[in-house]
Amino acid sequence: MKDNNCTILIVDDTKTNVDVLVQTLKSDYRLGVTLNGKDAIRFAGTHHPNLILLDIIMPGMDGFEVCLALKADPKTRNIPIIFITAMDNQAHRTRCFECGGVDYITKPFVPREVKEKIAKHLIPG
Amino acid sequence: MCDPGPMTEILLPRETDNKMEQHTHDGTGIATDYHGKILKGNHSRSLKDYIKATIAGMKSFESTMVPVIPYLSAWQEKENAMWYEFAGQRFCELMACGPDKVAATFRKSILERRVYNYREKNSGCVNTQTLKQWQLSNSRRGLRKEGEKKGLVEAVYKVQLPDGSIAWLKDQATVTAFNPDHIHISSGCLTLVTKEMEAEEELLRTQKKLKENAQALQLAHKIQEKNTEKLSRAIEAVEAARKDAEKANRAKSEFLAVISHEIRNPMNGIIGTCDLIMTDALSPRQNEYLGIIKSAAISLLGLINDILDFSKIEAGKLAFMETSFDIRDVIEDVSDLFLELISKKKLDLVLDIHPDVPTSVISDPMRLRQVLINLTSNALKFTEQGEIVIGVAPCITNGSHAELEFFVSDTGIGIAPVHLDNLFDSFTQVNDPVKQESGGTGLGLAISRQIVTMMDGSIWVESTPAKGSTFYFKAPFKCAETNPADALAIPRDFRQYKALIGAKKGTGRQVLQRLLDTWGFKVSLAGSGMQALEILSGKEQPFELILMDMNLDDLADADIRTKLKAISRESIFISITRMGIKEEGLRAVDLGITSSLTKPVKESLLLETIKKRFGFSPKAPDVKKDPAPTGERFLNTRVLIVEDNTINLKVGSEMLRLAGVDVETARNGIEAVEKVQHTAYDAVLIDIQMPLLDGIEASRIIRQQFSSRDLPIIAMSAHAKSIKWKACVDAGINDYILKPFNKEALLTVLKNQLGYRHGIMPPELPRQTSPPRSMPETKASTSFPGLNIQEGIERLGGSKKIFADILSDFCEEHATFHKALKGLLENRDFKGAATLAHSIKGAAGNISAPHLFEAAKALELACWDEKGMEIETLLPPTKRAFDEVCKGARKFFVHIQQKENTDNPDHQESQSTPQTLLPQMHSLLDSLDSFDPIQSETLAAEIQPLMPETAQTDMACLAKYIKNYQFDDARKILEALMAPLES
Repeated sequence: MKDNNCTILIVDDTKTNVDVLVQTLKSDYRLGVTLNGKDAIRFAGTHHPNLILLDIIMPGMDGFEVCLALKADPKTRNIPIIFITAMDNQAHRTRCFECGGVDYITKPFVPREVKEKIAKHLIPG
Repeated sequence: MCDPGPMTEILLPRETDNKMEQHTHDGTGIATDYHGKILKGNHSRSLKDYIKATIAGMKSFESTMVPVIPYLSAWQEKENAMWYEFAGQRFCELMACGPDKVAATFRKSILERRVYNYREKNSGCVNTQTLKQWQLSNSRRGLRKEGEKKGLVEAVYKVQLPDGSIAWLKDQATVTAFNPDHIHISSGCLTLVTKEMEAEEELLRTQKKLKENAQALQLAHKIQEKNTEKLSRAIEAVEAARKDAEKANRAKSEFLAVISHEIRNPMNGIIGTCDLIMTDALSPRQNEYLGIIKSAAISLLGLINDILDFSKIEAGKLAFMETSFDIRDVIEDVSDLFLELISKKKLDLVLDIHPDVPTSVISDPMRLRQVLINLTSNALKFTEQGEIVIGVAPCITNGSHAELEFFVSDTGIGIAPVHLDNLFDSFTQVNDPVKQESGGTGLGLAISRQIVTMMDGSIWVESTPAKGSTFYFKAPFKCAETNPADALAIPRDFRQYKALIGAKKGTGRQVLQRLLDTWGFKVSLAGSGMQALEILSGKEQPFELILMDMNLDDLADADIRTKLKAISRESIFISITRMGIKEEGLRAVDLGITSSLTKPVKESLLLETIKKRFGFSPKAPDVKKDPAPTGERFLNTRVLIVEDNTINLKVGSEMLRLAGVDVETARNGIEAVEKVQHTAYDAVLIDIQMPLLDGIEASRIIRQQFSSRDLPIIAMSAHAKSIKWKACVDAGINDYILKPFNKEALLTVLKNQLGYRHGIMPPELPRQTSPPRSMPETKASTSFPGLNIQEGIERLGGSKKIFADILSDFCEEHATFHKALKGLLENRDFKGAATLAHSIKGAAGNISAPHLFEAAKALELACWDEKGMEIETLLPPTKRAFDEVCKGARKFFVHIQQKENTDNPDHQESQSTPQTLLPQMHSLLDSLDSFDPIQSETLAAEIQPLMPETAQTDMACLAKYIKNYQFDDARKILEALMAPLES
């Protein structure tokens, strides 16, 4: 059942990853996509998504920087952020929580896992 | 008592002697015993006439048969004198004397007197039954005063007759006063009333007794009442005490449960800390001390668990579940637990499972395991040499039910007969001198008995001191439906083979012999290396199979080994060794043996080994039964699954087994930590919430020894909301999966963790052509090289079209990646290169391009590590893998296209006026502003066919920008298209 009251922002510079996430989530949520951190911060400030899926390694601002910027802004502070991380990077996963993320998903994605983790952390609009 | 005076006055003539006077109350009477005193004396005529007439009447009366004794007495008032005027024949006979002695004799014979009545004359008879005390003196006085008036006196005497017998006499007399003479005359008669009086006496006695009894009864009744009251008070007290006791017992059980739980935490702390310290550089002595602390802590934990179990059993709270399982698995599991201890003590452990034991039964495997563990650990405790046998045999089987008899026998110190009776009672330990060594709560056997009782079974022991003990238990089991595929497949060809078993005589050899017999081998036995040599060179040769226990004494002889090696060259030679005994292993190596089994020999493993060596294909995988959605099988992959819930454990294990994973199980964190130390696993799947040591804690401990790359840990949890992922990550858990999981999810998570290290092969490929390699050989399907199309489509919810689109984009986007990478490397921008490789790796994973994934991954690592040379070598294979993906993708496109054409031959086109599109274009503009890929794409797709031919290029461009999520660029094109329409 599509929840049009909830918007998920996907932030990832790798189009293929975005494609997979979009296909996974499009029937359940309204989606927004940005390919870089700067646009993500802009989008979050104006559209107030209910949850952000945030890639870590991106050109320009990386995911952690984006997360810290979002957490510093009172308007976006409360948006739950789930990081997208490679499954073999322990240091990244630890840092996800340190900088304010609520969870992480690993690449390659398991659709069910992605959905369950989003449902777990989603704050309804 | 009554006054006797008057009676004597009436009845008895007064005696003149003093003796007589003692009997007269007034003491004044003078009685003389003679007749005719009045008639002879000077008295009135009327008196004399009266006496004459009365005596005459009496005399004539005496001649009748009426049994009375008449008499006539007189009393002179003035002189107070009394005498008999007449005492007849009968009176004399009764007193046995003459008439002159009658009065004196009678007087002497009287023992007791009773006067019952006095009445006026003619007032009727006196009934002796209504006797009443009579106040005689008053009546007599009255008589005297009133002169000639007559009255009736009645009295009774108890007398002792001259013959010694006791008699009662009733006296009835009429008294007449003759006033002028001052004389009173009594004319009366005596009647013998002995019988009546005795009856009367008896009645009185009975009445008295009755009265006494009644009183006693009343008293008893009162006492009884008092006792009843006391009793009811006592019952109340007992009831209250019972309630208190129940409450106390509940409280005790709860307390035990709580305290056991509370003790566990610090215990885990101790054990964990020991492990932590033990990883530091320590002196051997410090290590040894820590080892002692740790093993003490672990055994203490075992005791606490015992107590907890026992308190649960007492409170009736021990859960008992029913699930189907293979008894062989349980027994083999139990034997695994004790391997280390068995090998430390250099004992033999033998599993003796009868071939008729059903494959699959329904009961609680955990509890069965618990009983076997208790019994085996007991056996181990008391056995210093020889063997321990864990076995099971069916007593009755009828298809749906089986009664199985389990036993654990040892060659230990045995139990004295006196101890056998209460062995299974709580807190009982066989006493000295063993007690000091044995330790334990003494609850193990009590718990075992309780569990066996819960299984509707019985437990007993047979033992001979100094020889050993055998504990038996018997219980009914339901047989589960067995899948024929689960049964061990035994090739028929074994029937043509001969086998030699070289082992010392004992249960172990018997079991081996029985197994080989069952499988069809013709079996010969040798008890030494020498004997084996003889048989192998004898007339029975050749032997296709040799199974030899390396603990045969003469195998220490190098000469014998050389000969054996030479003679066994043509045979399949399998050695059996004890774990941890180096020299046995060395002997096997020296004999040139390549297949070795560790004791206890497990049936399934032995069969598999033999089959493998004989060249029979391994058991067909159960792919047909439940094909893995991912279509892959894991090769040489050993996974430990840790789960306290039996069903979940079973499910998880089965899923993994079906995918070819070699699964081992643990029931809690402690078991997991221990197993990890002894066995090399490729991954651990661990439940987060478990008793004893939870998944997070266990992972933390495991991480002290193994890095997350060496041993990936995947957490399992049923509570997505409650799980603390930060804690998981901190504990070093690599990934997690939510329960209930399906096979696909489980295998995907596992594959993600293992993919880079393990060979995973598609089911259609024969095993031997796909040796394990560092890169997955697999997913490359033959028709679409470099891609696992099925998985890719499944990941995208089953749409081929979408998968094709994504593939196409991927190939296009990264078409020049190797050039870009080279450029970055030339500028020594390793970080940039790593980022690029990382992005290819992630994308490759998501489009299920395993070769590319692995290649890009290796490349990424090399870039992060700035290893120029390695990057140079890794780049070409990455490029090749990429090209392969593109080639596969193109093939896939063609495939899709063809399918689409056949499915949908007609393609309609329509036209519309651009102005009508403006509202739709505004909506598209909004959705582009919202970075919304789905709505943007939908709207663009709706608008595009309605646009004129001239705008089609722009529309294609617009669609492409949307597809690439470049919404700003898309917006620019759209605005350009809208401008002329709006003006």
